[in-house]
Amino acid sequence: MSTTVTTTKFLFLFRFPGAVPAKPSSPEEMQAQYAAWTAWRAKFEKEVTPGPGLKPGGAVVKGGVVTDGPYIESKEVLGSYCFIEASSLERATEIAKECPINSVPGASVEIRELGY
Amino acid sequence: MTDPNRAPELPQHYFRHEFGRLVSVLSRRFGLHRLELCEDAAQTALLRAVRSWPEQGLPDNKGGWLYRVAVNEVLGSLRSEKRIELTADDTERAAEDEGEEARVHLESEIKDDQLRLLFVCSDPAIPRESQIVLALKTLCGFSTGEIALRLFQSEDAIHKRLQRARASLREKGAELEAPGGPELESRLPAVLQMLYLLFTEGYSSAQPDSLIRRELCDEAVRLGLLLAERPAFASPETDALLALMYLDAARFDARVDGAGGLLLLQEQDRSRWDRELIRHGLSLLERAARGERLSRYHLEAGIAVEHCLAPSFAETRWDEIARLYELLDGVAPSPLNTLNRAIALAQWKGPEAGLALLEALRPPAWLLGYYLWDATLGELYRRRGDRVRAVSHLTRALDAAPTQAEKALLRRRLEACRPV
Repeated sequence: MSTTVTTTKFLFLFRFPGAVPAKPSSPEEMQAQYAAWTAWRAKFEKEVTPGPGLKPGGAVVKGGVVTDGPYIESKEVLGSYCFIEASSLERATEIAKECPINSVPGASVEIRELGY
Repeated sequence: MTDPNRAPELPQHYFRHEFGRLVSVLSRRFGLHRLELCEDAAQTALLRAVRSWPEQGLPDNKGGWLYRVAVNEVLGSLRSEKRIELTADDTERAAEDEGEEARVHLESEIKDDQLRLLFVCSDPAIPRESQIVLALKTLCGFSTGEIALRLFQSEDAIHKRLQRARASLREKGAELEAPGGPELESRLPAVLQMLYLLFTEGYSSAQPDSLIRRELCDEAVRLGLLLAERPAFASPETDALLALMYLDAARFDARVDGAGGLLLLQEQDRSRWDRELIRHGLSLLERAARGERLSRYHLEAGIAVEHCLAPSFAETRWDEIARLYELLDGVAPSPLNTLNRAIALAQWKGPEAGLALLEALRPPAWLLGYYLWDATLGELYRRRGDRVRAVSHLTRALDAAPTQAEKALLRRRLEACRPV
């Protein structure tokens, strides 16, 4: 190792409730959420790298049976993901704790270290 | 795509107004009978933007991005839920999506669609209160909860109003022609009346949370300006209504003190009145003077002008205001005009003149139960020195006043009746 500061790569998996929430956000609330996410991205811009995003739909193959996109019945839906370069799992957890996803009822962020 | 780190800030109320634009364009394309589906699709498109834009950066054409997502959402719902078999027409149009996106997002066409939806919301078949609710939901992008908060109704009541209004549109099945046709022009008065009511809802009752109420006024002005941009709809009445809204809005903030209490006109700091809005209102009213017809909006704006231009409460031209209320009663008869004229007369000639007018009036039952009736009588009796009557009326007004701010104001007036 030549560098003094080593970082580890993590993957954040953002999961949202699959069923339509009983009370959807109003456009005004969504704008507030947008501002919160933008601020989070700006705050950790050195550590967070977004992926190219996920299109809706797709397909699920289970036991050889193909069903339409993952939205229909699942309780949780993988909404998006991003890559994190952080000094430790603790640091990555800190970043995740500040993420606005925490204010979305039923949503979660799963932190996984990349590589073996 | 732009760099997401370059603070992609959005204008205030961008999502809310974009919701209105999306619903306007979608409901023109997919039909008013699918209004709710269009609202859901607009909602989904915005939600997707919230998830995607902070990560991917703002798309170059935000409106086009949202429209494409929303259209696909509508088509997907139509297909998967089989609400309606897709007609060949719908499928063909789906294939034209790419071209459509570029074409439909000409600003003028979006405005056309918004105007069209504005006329739809003002449909005389829909009860007036529900017209406002429908406009606030579809054109202004408020949620039912947000509307309930602003109109002092339960969320459930708002929800029911919306359902009935949408059902009425479905049953009618009639699609409106594009703006510019003669049918729409004949319905302009209904649209103006709806905007007037929307504005009044926001203006009339100054709550401690006047900021959110002011949004109703802002929306009425925004939609009014949309009308005024179109020569066919920029009638003298439209200009007069906008003038009235500007002149009233100019005094909006000065009506409330630092603690959210209501201030009487004579207590207001006139330097807090917005000169820019007054100037705007005056030039609009000048433009509105070109017609033959003297509408209620002309007269009400004329009254607002008198207040706005008076250097002080005492120097207000009360004779002119009394005359304008008399004219207004000829155009839009209401005992409320007499009530207001009595206040002006009392300022001009003394409380006796105002009381004489009110005592000669045979007030309908609803006016007798209206707190401003008692509040006015109480104040005039107080000024005439009739303490017993003054206290009796002011106490009744206090009981019937709808808001805490108004109750507080009436309590202060009652205090003034106490012998020193």
